[in-house]
Amino acid sequence: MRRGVSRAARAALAAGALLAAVAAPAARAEAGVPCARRDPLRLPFFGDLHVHTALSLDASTQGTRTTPRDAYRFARGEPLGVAPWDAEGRPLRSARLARPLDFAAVTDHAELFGEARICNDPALAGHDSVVCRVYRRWPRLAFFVMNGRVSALGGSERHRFCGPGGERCLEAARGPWDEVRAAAEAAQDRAPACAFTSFVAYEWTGSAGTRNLHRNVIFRDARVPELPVSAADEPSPWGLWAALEAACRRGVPGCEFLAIPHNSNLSAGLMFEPVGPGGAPLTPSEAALRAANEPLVEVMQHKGDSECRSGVGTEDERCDFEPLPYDDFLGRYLPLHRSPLQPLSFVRSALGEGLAVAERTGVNPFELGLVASTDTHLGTPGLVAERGYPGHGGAGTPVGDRLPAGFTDAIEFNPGGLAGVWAEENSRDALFAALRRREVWGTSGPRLAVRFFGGFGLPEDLCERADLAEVGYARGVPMGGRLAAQPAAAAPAFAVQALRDPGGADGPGSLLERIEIVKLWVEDGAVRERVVLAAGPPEAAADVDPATCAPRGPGFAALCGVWRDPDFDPAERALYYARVLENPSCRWSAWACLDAGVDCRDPASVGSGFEACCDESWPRSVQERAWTSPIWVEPAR
Amino acid sequence: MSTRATRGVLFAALALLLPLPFFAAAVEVAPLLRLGLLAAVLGAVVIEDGTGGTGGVLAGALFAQGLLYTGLLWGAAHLAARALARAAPRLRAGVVGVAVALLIGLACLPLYRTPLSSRSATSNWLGLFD
Repeated sequence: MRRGVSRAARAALAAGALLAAVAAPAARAEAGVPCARRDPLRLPFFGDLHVHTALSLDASTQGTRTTPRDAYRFARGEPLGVAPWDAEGRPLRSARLARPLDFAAVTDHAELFGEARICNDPALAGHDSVVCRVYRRWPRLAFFVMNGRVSALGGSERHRFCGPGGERCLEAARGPWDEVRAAAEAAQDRAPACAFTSFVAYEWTGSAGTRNLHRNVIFRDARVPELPVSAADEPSPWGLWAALEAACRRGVPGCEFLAIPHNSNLSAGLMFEPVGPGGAPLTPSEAALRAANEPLVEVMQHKGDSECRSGVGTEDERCDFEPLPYDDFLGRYLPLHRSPLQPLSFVRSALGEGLAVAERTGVNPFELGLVASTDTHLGTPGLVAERGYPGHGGAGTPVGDRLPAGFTDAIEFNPGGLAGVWAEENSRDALFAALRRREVWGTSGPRLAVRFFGGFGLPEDLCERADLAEVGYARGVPMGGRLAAQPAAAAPAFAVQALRDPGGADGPGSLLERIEIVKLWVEDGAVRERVVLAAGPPEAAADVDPATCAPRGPGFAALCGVWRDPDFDPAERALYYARVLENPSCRWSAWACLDAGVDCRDPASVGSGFEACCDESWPRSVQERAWTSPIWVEPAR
Repeated sequence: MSTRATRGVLFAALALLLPLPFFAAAVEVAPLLRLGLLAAVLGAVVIEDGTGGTGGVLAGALFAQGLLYTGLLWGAAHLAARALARAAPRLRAGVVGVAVALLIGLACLPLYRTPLSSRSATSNWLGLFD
């Protein structure tokens, strides 16, 4: 027992030291002049940390031609042509953000960077291989063949045309990786306006069978490894972290990274399995390693919500938001393969499991801040508007050379979300430090600005004060922080403030309905859950007119609440996070039905591909929302 | 038209034109011809790359489905030819001709589901080769 405590303490100290080292914004590492817009009490910035372009095999084989540079230009507000394309190479659709993003990261799949380049470049050896011929002639088929070889089956076997040891493909991968790096460098605004921040990044696309284990790897700045570590190189997350430690932190002076797992809702419970690389329960050092490398999780995106699911480890009915009816990729294609959803496919259960592991080992492996993003495969970061949603490709509906009839995406998918960050300024250093300290939140699309503080000394009237943020920082910790309970301490208070999306030229976003605080704690060895109303009325009164999609009923432009936990026990390990709900608004599919003139009373109006418009199992409205990162309370012992 | 010729023509028409559901990473509804084409393509990949990865799995699945459907279509053509054996030769030829014409007519419509196509998820017969 004593030995276990000692190991735990050492691991915790090591993790703390590592986090402190990587989180410290000591000096400005990036070149450039100081930002004109800077606030020590931090500003809200919105961005997209999950974007695919034509460099991703699953995007290019669907007809996406957007380059990383195009994607960053789109994020900064420029229009972009998107698939399908006509015979002359002109796009048949275009898109433009109503408001530019503050930051973005192009995260192309690193697997097959080199393979795709060889197949596209006649000058490279291997171009005439059968696989490359299939890639050029039947790209959709090639996607399954090529992707399946390096990631879907969790193997590390490269195609024969890559040569011995895969050297040919590794060498060819330098081209796309250099393109990613150059595009990020070109997009970074180093003028005093600091209008836009870009991150060098990629997606590691590992899987266990068809169970998703994908991670986005975000680098702090331009100091990155010569090549990304892909699932073809390291098929397991443990291998990924070790390889990144060697190639980045130890291999390139100043290099720093973090990994963001996503789509745990498609992992069949594996994403947050509390086991080490050998399958044994996590040791303190393994838990610390995991926590240090993965401070965040993508809670929601194009392929559904991963926060929680009613009936799967929780009875919270507001969890049924953008749910997928399967938690394994294969379940999408083979309904017979679907099995009961696993609680650890969802972030809330993972956060609770982290508390339970911390009780056993002294180290919480799942201290996860929450962000959201799109996972667009059209190269359109931040394209989250429900109306006119063009689909995001990828695992959704491919386009080919003509638009499919009906919906632009698989009905169960959605436009995805955004990442919110509280930072002093819009620079790589400031944003990356905020990601590291988890002062971030996710939204399902609307730009809801959410403050969340916790502390033992927060005043009850904080919402009435103009200095909410100042007091919050001075007497408490922001989202992503930790509180240490004292044996005789009073209960902590949590202050949460949300502002509706101010919108752009197309008007403001929906009104707010409520703010809830979700508490998880460990009691007698079991994880418990409670959801409380922090602000807003107990009963919802607003809805949406299904005939016009017009919102109806009252709501709030801003909400704020201070909640003190009446059941707080300083001996118990706990966490708290806030969930902000908008009034109901029309889902993208309902807008598509409306814009297509579908009237379910008139069967003749239901065009091909729009049959689901009249299927009541698909919701017409959604409650857009935001999730803050948790605040953890360490027990007094 | 002999019974043997009837069987052969019907089998060929069914194999070339009749939409059949089969699984190859995605569910396609297309003639045995396309299934065979995809199996041949994946077979070539397996010859080059070995059976590792999804290429081998998909090739195997297509090969198995191809065998199954070949048997079923041959059986269906055989039963139809036997049923027509007692009919007058001109009537037999007429029935076969109508059946083939019907299948050809259907093949002109975009009724095949081809999610593995590089152009469109629905195709007519010509689109089966995209």
